[in-house]
Amino acid sequence: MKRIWHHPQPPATGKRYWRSLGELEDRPEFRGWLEREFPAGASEFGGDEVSRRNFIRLMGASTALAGLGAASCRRPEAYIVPFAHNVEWTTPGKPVLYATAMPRLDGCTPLVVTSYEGRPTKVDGNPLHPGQRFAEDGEEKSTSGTDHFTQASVLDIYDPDRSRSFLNEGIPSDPSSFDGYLEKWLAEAGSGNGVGFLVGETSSPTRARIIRDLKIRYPEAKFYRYEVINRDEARAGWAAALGSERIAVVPRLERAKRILSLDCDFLGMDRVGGNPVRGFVSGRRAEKLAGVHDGEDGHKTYEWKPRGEDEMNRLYAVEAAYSVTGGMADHRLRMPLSQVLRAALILARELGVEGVEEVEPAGLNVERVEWLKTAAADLRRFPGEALVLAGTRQPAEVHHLAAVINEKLGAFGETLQLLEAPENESIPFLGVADLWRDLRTGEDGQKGIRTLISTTPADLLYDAPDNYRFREALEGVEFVHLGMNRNLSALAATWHIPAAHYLEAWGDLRSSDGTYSVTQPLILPLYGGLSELDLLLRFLGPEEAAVASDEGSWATNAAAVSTEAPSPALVAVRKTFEELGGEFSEGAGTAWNYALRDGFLPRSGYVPLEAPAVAPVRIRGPLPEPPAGVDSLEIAFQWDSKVYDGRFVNNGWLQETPDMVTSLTWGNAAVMSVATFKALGLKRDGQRIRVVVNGRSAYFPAQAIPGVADNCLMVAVGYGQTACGEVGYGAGFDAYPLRTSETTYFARGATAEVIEEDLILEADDPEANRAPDRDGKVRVARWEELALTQEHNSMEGRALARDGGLDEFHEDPEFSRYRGMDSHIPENISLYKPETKDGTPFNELDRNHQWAMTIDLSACIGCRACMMACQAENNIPIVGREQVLIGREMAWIRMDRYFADSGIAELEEEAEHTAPEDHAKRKELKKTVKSAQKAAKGTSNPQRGVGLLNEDHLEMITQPLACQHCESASCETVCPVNATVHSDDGLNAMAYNRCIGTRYCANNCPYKARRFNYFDYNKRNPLSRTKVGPFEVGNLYAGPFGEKLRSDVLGLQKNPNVTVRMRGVMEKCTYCVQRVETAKIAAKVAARGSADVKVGVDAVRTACQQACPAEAIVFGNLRQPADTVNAMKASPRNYEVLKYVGNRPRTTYLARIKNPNREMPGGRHVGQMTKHMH
Amino acid sequence: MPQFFPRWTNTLPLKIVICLVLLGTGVTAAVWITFTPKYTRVGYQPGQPVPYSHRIHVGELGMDCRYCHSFAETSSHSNVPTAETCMNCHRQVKAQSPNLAPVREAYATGKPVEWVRVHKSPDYVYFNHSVHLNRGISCQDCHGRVDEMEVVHQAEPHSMGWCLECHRNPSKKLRPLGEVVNFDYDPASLEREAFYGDLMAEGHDAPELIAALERANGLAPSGSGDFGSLMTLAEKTFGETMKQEEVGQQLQSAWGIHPPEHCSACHR
Repeated sequence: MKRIWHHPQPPATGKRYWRSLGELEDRPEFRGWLEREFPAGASEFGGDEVSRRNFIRLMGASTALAGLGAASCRRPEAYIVPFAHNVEWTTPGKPVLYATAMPRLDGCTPLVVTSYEGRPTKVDGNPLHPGQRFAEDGEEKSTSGTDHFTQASVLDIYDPDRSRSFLNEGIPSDPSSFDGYLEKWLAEAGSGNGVGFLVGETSSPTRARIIRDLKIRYPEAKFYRYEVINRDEARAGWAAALGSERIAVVPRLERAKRILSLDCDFLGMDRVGGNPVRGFVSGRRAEKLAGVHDGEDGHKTYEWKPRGEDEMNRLYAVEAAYSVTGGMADHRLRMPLSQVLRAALILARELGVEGVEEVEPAGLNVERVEWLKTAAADLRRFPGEALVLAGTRQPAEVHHLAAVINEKLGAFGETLQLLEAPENESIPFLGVADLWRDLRTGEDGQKGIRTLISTTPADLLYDAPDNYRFREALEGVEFVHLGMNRNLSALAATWHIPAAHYLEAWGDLRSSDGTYSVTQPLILPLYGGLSELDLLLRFLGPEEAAVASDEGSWATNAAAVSTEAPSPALVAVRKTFEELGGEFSEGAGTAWNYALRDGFLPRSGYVPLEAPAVAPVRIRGPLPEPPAGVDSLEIAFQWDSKVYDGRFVNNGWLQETPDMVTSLTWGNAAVMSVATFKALGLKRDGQRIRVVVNGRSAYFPAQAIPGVADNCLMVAVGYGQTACGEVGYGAGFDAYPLRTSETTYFARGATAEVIEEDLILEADDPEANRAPDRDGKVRVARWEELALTQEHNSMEGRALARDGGLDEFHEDPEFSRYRGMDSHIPENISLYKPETKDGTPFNELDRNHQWAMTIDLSACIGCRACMMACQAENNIPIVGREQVLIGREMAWIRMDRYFADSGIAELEEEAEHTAPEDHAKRKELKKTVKSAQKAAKGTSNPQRGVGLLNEDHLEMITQPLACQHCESASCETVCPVNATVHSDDGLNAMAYNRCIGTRYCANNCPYKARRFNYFDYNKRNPLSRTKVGPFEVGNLYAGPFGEKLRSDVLGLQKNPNVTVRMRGVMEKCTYCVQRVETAKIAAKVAARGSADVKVGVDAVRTACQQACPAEAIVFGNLRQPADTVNAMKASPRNYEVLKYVGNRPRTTYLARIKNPNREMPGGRHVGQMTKHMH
Repeated sequence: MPQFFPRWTNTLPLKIVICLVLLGTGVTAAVWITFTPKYTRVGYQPGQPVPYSHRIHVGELGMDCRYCHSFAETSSHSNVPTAETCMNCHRQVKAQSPNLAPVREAYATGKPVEWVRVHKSPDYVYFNHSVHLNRGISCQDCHGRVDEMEVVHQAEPHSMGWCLECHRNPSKKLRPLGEVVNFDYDPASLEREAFYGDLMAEGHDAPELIAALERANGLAPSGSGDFGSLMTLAEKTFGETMKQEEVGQQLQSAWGIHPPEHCSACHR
């Protein structure tokens, strides 16, 4: 009898989980979206695209044109162009890896960069670097994990919209004219009176030395430092606490058993101190390997044992809006950003810190105070093993308080390393406020600064606080600007100089623990840019150039650079290297080469701070009041997980990667809690609101995300730029106009009103905060759909991402195998025999290799580094906002994000626990529960409805999902042309050139892991619009009449080992088949005359695995018993997604185990997201 | 009696015949073209910017392929030599030859010589030289008698069917590793004792080799296991001199050669 599986009904009791409010409320549009094979519209023409009739007209024309091209069906003559001279280390067809480092706020990310024939194509973490090494269970381990900004940075080199030429007053000029200007300037500079240097944050010792030299050379010059997101508050906090400006802190999370974050998104955007993710995950393990036993024919059995409550770490998070850290937290407390200080004070008092006065818990209800007290009691139980982290954006007092608390907890030297940077690298800078003061005309009619030389990556005219009118102030000032993009500052500058990418220039950096790295160029500047060091050295005068030519011969030999003169920056860096090398000076060439090979200079880190004494905290002024209601909101200016502070606005990969929490692509929104959303009278995501704060106003689309602190608006900065490339133009709304120097990270007293009609503003309207349309007008519609990916490909009512508490895990370690339908599926008896005609089982076809993957949801933080790594490795194109809106995004990995609340379960429980005497209350509660259940009857989403949503007790879980490489893949059986077939080694392969685009496979994939190339996304510009006859259509729709990619440069980034797919073919995750095949070939080449062709232990790492900072993804060979993947598959937490479908996926998941403190408010419901599903 | 067929049907048979003829011609032409060597470019012999002769360098002077194509054994790509490689010799030999002018110019200016590509796999094919050369497939198997070519031409079709033919029956092509660049290789010239001696030196013992031989030729397992009986058995099965069949069978078994036949081996 044929068995038909119906979708299970979600449970009527217990926790509920959802991906979006649409799903929670079960809106009709959501249902419609869900029930399609592809997201609605994905296979249709819609919106302002071409109508079917127009399409046929266009098709007719293009068919006619195709006939003209038929003469070219013969293969063209192709050429082989070898080098004229042999190039060291170059083997055609093989990549070369270079160690270097990427600058970031907190130091640098050590990298290994892959380069094919001189083109950098992929960046990864450097596992040799001390910052990437840590101890786990007494074993020394290392990681190559990075973050998504690092992964995406390689695309910036090839951005066709990058600044390509020198600009003089906005007009293209040439380098020699600038040289002329510089010569004249140097002659007149004198002691530097009226000269200002404006730089960004960096840890480069060479830049510090150049600044020192500049100070000597120009004693009257002034030096400023400005970036939107900076470490000023953290520095000030630590300086107040320890009396030193030079403190560097490195949290050792692998040693911490209890962690409390005060608005510190250390797993996501605020990765303080190197790579905190891996350390955190190592303390997060819910089980340990108790034994490995050798079984028959080389097989191994792995025995896992659950850890105790005190062996596994526990994370408390205090934050305003959901971040990935809050998502990982066992307990999360939502609070407005301004109130984190209050929380810190309560915490300090609870922990017995002296000198902290009683804090009035204004706006903190009893439960929240209780939350903090219980958390404090838990922290106190772990002296020397607890840690409190303060977020970079919090005021200095919070950092100071965190320092005091950490001292009290005995964290110094244990879970928090305190280091001190060398004195000569810590240079006092003036701030942006001083710059503003000095640029204004003084009483004597003179400006304090008459020449401003800016190398900061910030855009002074775009992102500076709005009360500083730099545009007016810079009039009459000679403004020399170095930058990667032609932004507003570049266009307004007297001289704009294109900046070199960090992979194009010599430089150096220190990581957060001080380890010194030389950053080396992988390619000459593509558009002839200068690095910051190069430019600043030029301002030191021709003497520096003389030094360069003296030492030129050495540098040329050592670095094997071309015959051109070495970059002055290289000479300067080498000088720093020798200063730091000390004992390595003997045979310095060798030490230098080692440093270049390994990417760092060993034992060059900062020195530990001896016996730190923490000064008591003094709170300045009254504590800020919490936002009272919708007429006095708090607005937070959030760094964005895509464009950061606006500098990555032209990076298409980042723009199209959904935000870590909101899942928003190609723009920003004012994010608020569901309660605030309703209180403002908003009904749909994407409705526009007008926000007024600080006497300024701006427009934003609204988006409701549960778990944001009430009466808070979270707005990402960096969007709505008018001077940027094609990618960033038109994306999002600018939040900087609302920001003043007093309110850098958040402002209070904001109001928001819903817009009732569509507005058309002039471009120079002060309220116009987005890029104007072609006609110069700025349009603000009442409603515009947000390009969200969270509702695409949703799956309903099934226990897909599974979680549990540690106590439950102890009771039944295998609980996750019986969640959802898996609790009652019968044995799978199939008529279909998975074997060949001669009886060989399919998974025995290759006896040496059977590939498989596990993803540990306990470790996965949802940071999206894997998505970006996949994009870079597998030549995945971007499709543009319009295509995302109709669900055609191409990312092979999608990051599912679910929220869960205790909903009715809590009410039921409350009714249960209400004293029997209190009849009225009990009755009331039961009635509510009943009516909610009744309302939900008959729908697939019972007990939905936001009315019952308790935003204080929420949970978030993320689950990366790509092709599962099923052993009985349902896609393979329906392909009419055998384009998707199984390989002998267990991969579900795609032969692109066989695919005819029927899309049956995607239709039949239960995981919705397949992506279709509706257009030539790789060949045609998906972002522009084209006029075809009388029609103006999206460029993709114009077919052969459309614009091709504007530049071949983008092709330089492509991985040569992966096919660039064309229109009309299906694609999906391949398990990085190019890496698998490369490893197999390497094994065969090494085997030569022997039959030992098995790939070594853990020898293949997929791109996502390599990039994962948490090492949640493990890939390996099932026929290699020592491979880690076999140990992971043996874990009791291992389960298959949609097991009852019977596809036998090769990718399996490990359930997330939380370590809840059941005494916390709401603690009873933690980690029970899927418990009631069956 | 009314007419059954309307008037326009009068010309219908003719139209059908014309259509069928056209269709037939089309199909014949399509098959003709796609099945000819012309389509697969066998014999494609473009002129090169430098009249370099493989016949002189390899056939007469006896240069090893790997002197110029130096990365063929380590990389997926078999490189074409740089101008510098040519000049290693031609600084002394024929230093003034007008034929070598483009090479000298490239060497002096750094602007490379543009050689015309003869063998071109489609861009969705990821062929790897190193894995073939290191597992006993010779240059000659795909590129023909390059040592006899004055100007290089394509000798084999390089179509997918042609690739698979060998992937399904690798024993027809396998050679001892020392012979992969030898254009004069002849299995009959191999010493049987030396051949098996080499295999045993690689770590394969006599019983294993005997068993492989018996298995491949449908003989009953004898269970014998010394070198002498191996020699006797081989001579009895294949005759006095060695044959490709024997070499291929033994190498395939000893080296565990299982050429991949699934899509993802070559298409990614």
